[in-house]
Amino acid sequence: MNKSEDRDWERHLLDTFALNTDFAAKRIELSDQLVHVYYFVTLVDLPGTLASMNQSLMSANDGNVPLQHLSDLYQIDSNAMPEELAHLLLQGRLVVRSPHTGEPLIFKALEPSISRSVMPPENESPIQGAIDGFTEDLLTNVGLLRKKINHKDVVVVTHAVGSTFCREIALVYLKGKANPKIVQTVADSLIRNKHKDVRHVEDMLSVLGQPKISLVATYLATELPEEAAQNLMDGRVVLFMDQLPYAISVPAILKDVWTLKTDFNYPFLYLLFFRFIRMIGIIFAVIMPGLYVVLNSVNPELLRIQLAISVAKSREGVPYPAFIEVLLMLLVLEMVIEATTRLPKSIGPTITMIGGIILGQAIVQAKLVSNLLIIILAASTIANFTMSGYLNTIGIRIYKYVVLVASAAFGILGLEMSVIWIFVYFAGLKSFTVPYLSLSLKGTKTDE
Amino acid sequence: MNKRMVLALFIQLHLAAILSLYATKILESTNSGHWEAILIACLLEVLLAWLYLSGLSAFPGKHIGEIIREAAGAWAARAILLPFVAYIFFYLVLQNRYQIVKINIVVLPSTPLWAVLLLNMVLPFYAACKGIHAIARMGLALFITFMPFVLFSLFISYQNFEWRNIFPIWQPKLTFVAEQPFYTSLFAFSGFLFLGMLSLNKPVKLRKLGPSMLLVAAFGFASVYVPLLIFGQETAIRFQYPVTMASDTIDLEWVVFDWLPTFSVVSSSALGMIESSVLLWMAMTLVRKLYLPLPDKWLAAILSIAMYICSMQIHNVQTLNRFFSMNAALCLYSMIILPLTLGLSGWRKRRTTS
Repeated sequence: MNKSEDRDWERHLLDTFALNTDFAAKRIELSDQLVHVYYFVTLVDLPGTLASMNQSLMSANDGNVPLQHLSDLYQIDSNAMPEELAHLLLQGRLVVRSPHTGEPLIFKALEPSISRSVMPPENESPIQGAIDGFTEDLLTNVGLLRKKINHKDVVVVTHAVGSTFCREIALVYLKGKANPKIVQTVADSLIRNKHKDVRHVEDMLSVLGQPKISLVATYLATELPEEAAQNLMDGRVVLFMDQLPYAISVPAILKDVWTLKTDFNYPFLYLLFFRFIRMIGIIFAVIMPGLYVVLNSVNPELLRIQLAISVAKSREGVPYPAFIEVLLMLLVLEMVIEATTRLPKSIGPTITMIGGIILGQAIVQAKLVSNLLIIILAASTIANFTMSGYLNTIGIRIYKYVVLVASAAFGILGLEMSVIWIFVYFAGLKSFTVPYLSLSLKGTKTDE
Repeated sequence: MNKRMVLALFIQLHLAAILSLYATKILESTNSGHWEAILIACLLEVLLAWLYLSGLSAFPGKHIGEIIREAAGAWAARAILLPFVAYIFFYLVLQNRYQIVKINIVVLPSTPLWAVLLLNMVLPFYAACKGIHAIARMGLALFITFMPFVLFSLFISYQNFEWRNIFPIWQPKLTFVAEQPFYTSLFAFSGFLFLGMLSLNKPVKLRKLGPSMLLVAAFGFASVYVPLLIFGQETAIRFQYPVTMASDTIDLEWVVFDWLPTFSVVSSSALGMIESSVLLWMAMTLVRKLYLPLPDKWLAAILSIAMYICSMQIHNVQTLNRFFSMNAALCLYSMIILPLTLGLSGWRKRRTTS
């Protein structure tokens, strides 16, 4: 075989990555043979890889053909097409031309240290629970999850999706616990939409066939392996995307709005108490702003006369209707939330102070809004964040406005109808064959 | 759909009817021994439901339209079920009208009726489009959230009960049987008819319905006796909304709210919403299966708009009452003929197969 003659796949690789300075095609000595290797210097630590290969060759018994021995240890079983070879290179693999057949061999390689190590989660703060969080690396994440759930029935299936933008997605479920219908639906849609590019979580949801517009998230995202393990135990399917430090569990049901899996680390009575508080929080967050408008401008006769007078007094001198007042303040509040979310930690408290103390105090003294409204809005915003899961809070934050508008138009009846409407919406919502309005994923048991 | 949802819907459909016109009609039909009228209606329902369910159990997985079509042919099914569809539709119209007037009087005196009716049209339309499974799930959710309000508003006035108003307790001649309002009041017990539309693979057994029927009967008694015990026959008969009035007779210090009839209206309008959704879905399904094979959304839209227009045409309470009395004929037809037809078809099928 002529060594200088390039194979088709080699030419394809060289063409594809011709412009990249970090793409390397080299000839190296591997187990006393000169071989061609292709890799990205930024993704592969070649000296380290070679050193470890030599070390494993030294420990090998002499009977084996050296390259064969290396293949046994490092090769990934893959009959790759040229396009797939490119994806594999981008995932940090080492492609070696077999000196005998000229076919590509794909070897695992050491990475230069560009991944962060396992650290406590950034956006979730577990109390009384394990504090390791997921990282960007897919295999590390699956490993973390496996460590949390030592169960022989855990099944991990990895899919590579995307045509121009390859992304690995791992599908994890617990055989026997997970509803086979859900597993089948998820696996089918991953295979069927193999060619779709998955850049964000939203892309993945569209791969999974979820509605594009939905008030509540039909999945749970968590940074905590412990939560993800409990989700598996509940019969959910957990999905990992490479380079996303979150485990995505599907399907989500109504109960997830007020339950956290780490609740189980507490005595039962405390768990009940936490969940009760969260439920009350949800009710507060949804109806408080609407109720304020109802009691102020549409149905003041509902209140006892003393209370009605004190409510009216607090609004003395406020120049616009209660609805506008609430809407304005809610918008300001949303902006404060949005502004503080991603600010550097050193500036965040400043905004809180400006927003909370200066704006809140000044706006009341200037008679632009009533004191009572400030109290109500503060209460409903705090209540909003008692819910479990950041994703869930957003749906409620949005729905609050629907309640507000309905209340302004129809008073107490509008408030009631908007609550009924959200129930109808939930009742009609299904994610992965499971109705959203269920309290359990097991069997057909469906409740509130 | 599981058993609990079916039972919750069953109770709610009855409750919605009971909390609307039922008390007024029973009070009109007799001035003593009201319990006899209620009891007779309950027993009648048990009997008819037994016939109906025995017919259904011979045809698992099928709804009433398919069963009659199989037993008597397509045109006969259309003819037999036409009054039923008409009953459902007019019932929908009248109930919605009754609801919005009550809402208008108690909580929204300055909101125009058409706006409130719009709300009562849009939500059932939305729910009916989602299908009966969604309605059943929503029913269970509302059962849990609104049932406390129902109980609260119904029984809160117990401290004003004048127990002597219960007399005369005995009415030996059953004179109400000859009174028209008694037959109008029977609509409250027509709720079992929706069971025939569910196409359940395992039809509900009458035994399983027992506790729910007892509960429904208890509410039937309560809705008549609460106003009766507070006001007495002579006063109670003068009210358009005796149950709501009853909750206005008390003043509770510990409740922040002063205007307690609101609770009554809130709870009955939530129940009304479920009832309207189920009725609209029933009418829609029957029309689609038997008369006009259009997509669900179109049919639901047509029926809701028709309901809206018809409801707006009723101008006063007298007309509403007259229509309720007229609808009683269709109601009686549906309550008696349909169970008989189903019972007969079931009996015939069992005989031919065995």
